[in-house]
Amino acid sequence: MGRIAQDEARWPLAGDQLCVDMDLSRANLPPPTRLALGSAVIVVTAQPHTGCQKFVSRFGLDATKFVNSPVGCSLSLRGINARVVRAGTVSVGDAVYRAAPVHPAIRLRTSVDGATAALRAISEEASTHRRRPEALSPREVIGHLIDSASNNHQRFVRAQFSDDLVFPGYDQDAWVTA
Amino acid sequence: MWRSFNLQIVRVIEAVPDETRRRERHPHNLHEIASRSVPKSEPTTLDYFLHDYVDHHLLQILGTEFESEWQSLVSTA
Repeated sequence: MGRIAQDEARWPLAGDQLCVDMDLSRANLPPPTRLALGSAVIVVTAQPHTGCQKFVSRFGLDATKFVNSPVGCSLSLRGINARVVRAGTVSVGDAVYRAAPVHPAIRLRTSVDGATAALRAISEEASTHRRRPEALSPREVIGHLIDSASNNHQRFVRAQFSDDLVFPGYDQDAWVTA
Repeated sequence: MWRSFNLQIVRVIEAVPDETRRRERHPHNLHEIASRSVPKSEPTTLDYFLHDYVDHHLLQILGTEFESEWQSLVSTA
């Protein structure tokens, strides 16, 4: 931001929620990297941040072309988009911490182990209850997740014999109904 | 069944070499099939897709407890 707006008094014109002194490049913060600031946690999303019309009028077309060039995009010169995972308070001067990357196998094992007891505790009656008419019951959610597991198991195996990641989809609702 | 299927997937993921997991992939259709989609024009990795799968399960199963996982990760970061 310093390079584009130069004078710090003009930084707020960019309309960003947070200004941080950090390497925001795709390589350093690939989605879904988690960041903790103050008591809040945010997750970097894949949606690229590009300069909008206001950015063009405030900082000029050249600056916009610069931040949206291939190099500008890989360095995230226009910043990044993130979603709030845990709401909290952020103050000026707070440090930004990146959550340590955890191997996906460990995350999956931990969540399966953590959820097993809670799932076994769901009663027969509660398992078919829909909180909203259009929502899935716990039993249907598990049904969907088994569909998801069977589809993704194949995808994860096939991905190892291929250079791309192009996979057939599946109609979630139709699979649950079936 | 949900548990054993996913523990099988854990073993599959564990066996993926790091290089295979981190290599950039293109083309992909994660703009259609991922729960947090990746634009078609951007390369992606198997690692992203694996985490996307875990996130999807966590959100569905644990709901709000999902947040506490990240709380514990952040405190160890």
